[in-house]
Amino acid sequence: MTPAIQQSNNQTIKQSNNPTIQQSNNPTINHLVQIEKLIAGCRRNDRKCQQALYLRFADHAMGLCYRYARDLYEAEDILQNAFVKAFSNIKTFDEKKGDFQGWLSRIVINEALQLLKKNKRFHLTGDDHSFHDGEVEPEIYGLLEAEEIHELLAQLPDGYRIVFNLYVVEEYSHQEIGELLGISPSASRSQLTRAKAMLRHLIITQKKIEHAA
Amino acid sequence: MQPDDTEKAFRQKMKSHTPAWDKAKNWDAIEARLPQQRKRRPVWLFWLLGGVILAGSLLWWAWFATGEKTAAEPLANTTEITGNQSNTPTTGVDEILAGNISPQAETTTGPNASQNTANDDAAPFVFKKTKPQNGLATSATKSTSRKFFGEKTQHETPVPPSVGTTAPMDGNASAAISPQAANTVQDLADHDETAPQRRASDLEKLPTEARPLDLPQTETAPSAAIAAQIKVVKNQPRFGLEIYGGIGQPLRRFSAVSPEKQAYISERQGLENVLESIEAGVLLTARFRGGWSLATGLEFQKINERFHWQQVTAETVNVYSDSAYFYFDAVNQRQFIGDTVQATLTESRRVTNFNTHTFLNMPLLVGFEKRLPHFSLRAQGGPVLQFYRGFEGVIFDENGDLRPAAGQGIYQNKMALSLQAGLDVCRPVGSLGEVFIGLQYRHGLTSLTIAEAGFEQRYGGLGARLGWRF
Repeated sequence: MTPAIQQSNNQTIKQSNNPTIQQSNNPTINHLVQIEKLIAGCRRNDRKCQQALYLRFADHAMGLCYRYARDLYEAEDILQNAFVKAFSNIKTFDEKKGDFQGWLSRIVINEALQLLKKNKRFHLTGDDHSFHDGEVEPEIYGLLEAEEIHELLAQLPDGYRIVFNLYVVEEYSHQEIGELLGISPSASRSQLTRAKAMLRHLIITQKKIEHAA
Repeated sequence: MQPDDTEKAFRQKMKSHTPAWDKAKNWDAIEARLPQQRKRRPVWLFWLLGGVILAGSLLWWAWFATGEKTAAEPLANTTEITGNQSNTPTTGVDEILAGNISPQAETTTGPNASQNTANDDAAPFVFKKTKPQNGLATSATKSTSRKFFGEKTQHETPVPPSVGTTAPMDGNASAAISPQAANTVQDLADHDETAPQRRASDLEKLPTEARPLDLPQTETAPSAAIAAQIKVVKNQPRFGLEIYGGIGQPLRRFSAVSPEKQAYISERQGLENVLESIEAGVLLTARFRGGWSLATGLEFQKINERFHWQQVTAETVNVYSDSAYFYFDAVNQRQFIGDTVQATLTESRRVTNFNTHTFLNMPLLVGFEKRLPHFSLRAQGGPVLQFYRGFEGVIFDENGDLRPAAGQGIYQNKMALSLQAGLDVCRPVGSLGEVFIGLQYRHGLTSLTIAEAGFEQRYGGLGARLGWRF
């Protein structure tokens, strides 16, 4: 099978020894340099640079917003708030501490959490439900499409969904999640366990419906 | 599948998932909330404006402000009394009118000193008297003129001959020279050949009683001190302004800092086929005796370049691995789970660069000019400071795709030094000034690239220019 290009990972570019590459206006080699220049332009409040930086990272940011929002409209609100905040505070961005994408991701997540707290939607979900549906066959997970996963996650209570996203997708530790949400690491751990159980329950329920149909 | 695998599968699918959404609409909303963009004004415009103001100020100073002072003040301040004459400074009319100083204070030694004393009763006559210098007669007039016998001389009060004239001084006597005497020096400096005739003519126009008695003796040759001042006046530079524009063939010199860069330099030099420049400038020129001149100002220069080169890109990408993870589904079909491995994607393409480099130059040129019957030849040379303002450009690849040239990092806002030499032919055009046309060569001395570029780049050039000076 021919390998398909999934995505370019420009963070791992290695400089070639070829002088032509080093010297040229090579778009790939200069990728990071260009981002630095765009950031420098944003610091001067250059609108074109801001737009270019937005276009470069908008898809990534929207994917992130969409995971934390209830719907697309809420995701767009989070995205707009996050970019306005990022451009307003871009002078505080330090390249030495990390890349821009990571910095922007943190802003997006913070914005999403702030929106949840503002709407008083974030609260820890108690153990009101007990799911004893048995185990899901591992292959089932592989067959789920991204949109299906998103729909399943959207059915989770906000507390479950946020912790699940932070831990599973963003790869935060329970300690970090606890600091971010103002809860203890053990509470984060229990929210994750319940989230997984409920997700499993939802998958089994959905499969049962499909079989019945 | 282990729980970790489940999470991994979730993570991959979720991270790569983005819903369909309208980027442009969201950008409009973001842009509306961003602070207004501050328009950047071109810095070179301020330089140019500053240069023009400076040049204009100097020109004004040279043409209007120095007319009276350059000759008069040094004379009045520096001439010393060495004889047996009292060292009484020249007294102003206003001071006499105010009664601060009596006319008697204006004593003059010499044969006619008694005449002054005898005319103390003539106090109502207000006069301003200048000290004679080596026989030069002075006029005892209430004069507001700047020239001794010039057209602006006003004799508001008739002056008795005994007061208004002074006998020839002996050789030892000298005095502080008044502005009137200094203007005489100015006359001599400007028109020393015709001054005696003009002066005689002017004297005839005066009332008889106001004419100096010792006219013949006033036309003696100026003293050494006055001659020195005449020389000073003649040595005053004359300021002028030059405006020019031209085209040229830039001569760019590459040199690699490291051997690894030499291949790139060689390739680029071999493929560079078009390079031209345009320039325009303003110079303020000070012209001295003997045809020498000094000029400085500002020059705006644009250099266009076009070159082809082979662009090689090496990109590390993540690709699906078809052997890392797979399983058989319920119908025994092999299903792959997208795990990724890293691979290097290399591309090569031929591209063409179109770049425009912008400079603001500041020359300091020493010139020598030789006057010929119908025109003059001028040679100029000196250092030129080059302020590099970066470049803008586009790149075409072999498919015709167009994109902006990346950045200005290795050059931007660099400063370099070059040497310039040129030859101009100047020809007067009526009273409007002179038109000049010439050739100039510029040799880049220092590099415009930063150290990280790995190579040095010096800009010089050979150009032709057409200008106007006045």
